[in-house]
This record gives sequence, structure tokens and C-alpha cells, in this order.
Amino acid sequence: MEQTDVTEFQVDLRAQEDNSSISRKTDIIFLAFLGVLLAGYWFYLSRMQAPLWDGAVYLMNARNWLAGTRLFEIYRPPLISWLIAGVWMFTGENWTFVKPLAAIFATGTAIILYLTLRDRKGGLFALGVTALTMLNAQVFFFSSQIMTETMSLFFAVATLYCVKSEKPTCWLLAGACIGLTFASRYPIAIQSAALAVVESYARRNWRMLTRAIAGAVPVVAAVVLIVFVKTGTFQTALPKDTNLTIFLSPYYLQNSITTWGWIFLLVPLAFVLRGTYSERYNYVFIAWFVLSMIFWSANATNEQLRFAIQFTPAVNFLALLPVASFVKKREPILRFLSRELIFIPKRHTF
Amino acid sequence: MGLVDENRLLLGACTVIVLLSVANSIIQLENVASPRSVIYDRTFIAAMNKISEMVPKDAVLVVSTNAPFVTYFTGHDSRVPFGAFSKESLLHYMTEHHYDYLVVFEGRSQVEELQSLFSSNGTKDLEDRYELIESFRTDFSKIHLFRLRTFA
Repeated sequence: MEQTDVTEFQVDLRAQEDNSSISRKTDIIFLAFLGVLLAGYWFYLSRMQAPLWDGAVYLMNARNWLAGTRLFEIYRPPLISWLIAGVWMFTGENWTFVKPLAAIFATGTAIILYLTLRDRKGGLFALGVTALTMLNAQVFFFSSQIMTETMSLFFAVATLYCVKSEKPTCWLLAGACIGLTFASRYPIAIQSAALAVVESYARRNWRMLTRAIAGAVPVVAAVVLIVFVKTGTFQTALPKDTNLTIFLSPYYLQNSITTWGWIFLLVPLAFVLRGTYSERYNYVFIAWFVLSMIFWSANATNEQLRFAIQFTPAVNFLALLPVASFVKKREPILRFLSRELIFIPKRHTF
Repeated sequence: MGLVDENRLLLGACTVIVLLSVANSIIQLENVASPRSVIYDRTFIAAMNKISEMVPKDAVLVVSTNAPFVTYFTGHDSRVPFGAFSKESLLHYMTEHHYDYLVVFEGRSQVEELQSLFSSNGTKDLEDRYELIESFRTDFSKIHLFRLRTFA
């Protein structure tokens, strides 16, 4: 008996060693991936001869904030223009100096996303989700533009990192990240706020939510107040772009393969597997995906594929979940499905 | 199957999925922005700089489209003539607001009613009321700078 215990202990120890060795390997692969990503950004940034339309607006607003003149478009979120103005205070006004801004936030997103998922889901899973997210065509393209897409993605992922933490100070930071998501792209704050609400529910930890609210309110209030003092009003979008309807548009579903690639076909599978719901850790990703899809599909007057950027991590997480679950169960696919599919009663197996 | 084997299998599955995704991304990446987008136009900013030099410092530019680009890169305020629907109404819009300069991106108009006026033929038709100061051919655009004619 004692002999068996010692052998099991040795096997466990070896498994742990193997696991940590794999983690180290995936960390190295992740660093190599970051290098490739940075090279890709550098190549793409070097091709950019002018900003996009919205980018020119953010540059104009930055100039206006710096000069104390009327904003070019008052409904634009201010954070990107504040950052540009901050850079120009030291370098002088030159749009090429702020070209890498989005790429810096995208790189930060990759690091935070990887670190968030690695501890709980393992390095390989984290690497898979991160690589799929950062290599997504929409995410990659807008990471090379003077736009708010990757900045808001960064703050949404930072919110996720903070709400997954066990430290109460991080929950306060989660609130600050929700506020900064608001400042970087107004509607994405709904996604960040949902992350805090659902994670609090999943962990039955309402202290987390109150701390997050305490962190978010001052930041949101400060942003609204500063913009109000500057413009005399506070507007988050053009009226024509804010027509929400209960008749959801199929636009994002119809374009799902174009947006996320063939991997999106695995997402419905995640929703019909028991394992997806048995782990409370996954709740936040389910909510992130479902809420975002409903929100953007309800806005039928302004549909763009880039609006899917901020919840792309949730899509990739849900897509890889069945793969990870199948590998973990170590059984033939039919047996796995018969055990895991939610519409097959548990006692029936093939 | 050991833990390492499990991870190898997951690595294999992830690799296949990531590779398929990368292939999809590369295909999609070229479609996110048109290859003829202004972001790839190497001579666009130079044209804007020249326009800036050719008009008086405080002049407001009336533009057929691209107001944010024109405003930022020329340093001049720009206005899209919303409400104008013809050559005459455009003229009225400009004289009413005391605007003298018109920048036309040939074939492109943010005001749908002025689409034909800012077409290749339409811009020629403008010349009886506007003096063509300069035309700029960039990589993907033809830009005309007009000044309102003054009749004594």
C-alpha cells in the first residue's frame, strides 16, 4: 500500500514537472510569437502612407485639445486624442510619431490575454486563444491604424485580467479599466462592465462588483466632465448610428467565417457541451460573446466587421474549449460526444 | 495517454487551427481596406501640403469629401456643402458663407446630389463659375483646386 502511494506520488511529481516544462516551452513559443507579431506590425506600419478617415479625426481632435480650440468632432471618445496630444507635447506635432500607438496596445493585449488564461487553462490553450485573436485579420489590420479598436480591446482584456484575479486591489483596477474602456470607445464599456458583473455572479463575490463600480465611477465621471466642459455637451455617437432594435440583424452571423475564420464553426459546439457550463470560469466568456453579439446585432443601422474586434478573445476561447475538453477526456470522439452533449441524457452512451 | 501526450495532442490541434486561421487572415487582410485606399497613397499628403501653400492662411475650403484629411493635412478648416444639390446651389452656398475655395476629389462626393457635378465631366462644367487653380494626380485620386470667379 505504502509502495503504491509512493509510486503515485512519483507519477504526480513527474506529471507536474512535465507540465511546468511544457509551460516553459509555451512561454518561449509565446515570446517568439510576439516577435513575429511585432515584425508584422512593423511591416504593416511601414506601408501606411496616411491615416484612415477616423484616424484623421482623432489627429484633428488631438490638435484641438492641445491648442484649446473647438473639437473637430465632439462625439468621438477622447482617450486616443489625449494620448496623441500627450506624445506631441514632447515630440511636436507629427502624425507619424503616433502611428505605432495601436500596435503598442495590441502587443499589451496579447501579453495580458496570454497571462490571464495561462494560469487556469494552461500555456497551450492560452497560446492558442492569443494567437488566434492577434492574427485575426480585423484585429491585426486595426492594430496598425490610428484607431480606437485595439485600445478598447486592451482595456477590455485588462478588465478580464483584473476580475479573474484574487486580489481585491485588482477588482478596483478592473473598475478603472472599465472607465478607460469607456474613454477609449464608449460602447465597449458595456462589454467590460458585463465581465465584472458576470464574474462577480460566477464567483458569488459581490464585493468584487462593488469595488469595480467604485473604480469605474470616478473615471467615467471625469471623462464625461472633461468632455462636457470642453464642448458644452456630451454625445457618444451620431444619432443615426444609435438605432437599437429588437429585430436582430443576422449581419455578424452571416459574416462570422469572414470575420473569425473557420474556427467559428466550433463555437456552436461549445454551447452544446456540458463541460462548457460545468466550469464557472467559462461563464464570463459565454456572457462576453452572447452579449456582444446581441448588442451589435441590435444596431441595424451601423454594421461593420471591426465592431467584432473586442469580443474576438471570447469567440476564440469558446472555439478552443471543445478541442481542449476532448483532449482532456482522452476517449473516442463518439463516447466523448455521448457523454458531453447536453441533449443526450447522461446514462446513454454509444 | 500521459499529460505530455495530452498537451502534444492539444498543441497539434491548436497548430492546425491556428494555421488555418492564419491562412484565412492573410486572405482577409487584403480585403479589410481597399488596395486603393488613401492609407496606401504615397502622394496624397504631398498634394494636401501643396493645396495648403496655394490658398490664403485663413481660407475655408469647401470639399467634395474627405473633410478630416483635408482639414488635418492642409491646416485649413473644411466644409462639406451639405444642403447643396446643384451647381447653382453650390455657388449660393459658397457665396452665402463667403467661401472662395473648392477642393474636388474627382468622382467622389459626400453629398449624393452633387455626385455628377464632381464627376470627370462635371468638374469641366464647373469652370465657367470657378477658376481651376491646379489639379493634382495622386496614386489613387485626382484632386482639383478651384477658386470662385469674381465678376466685376
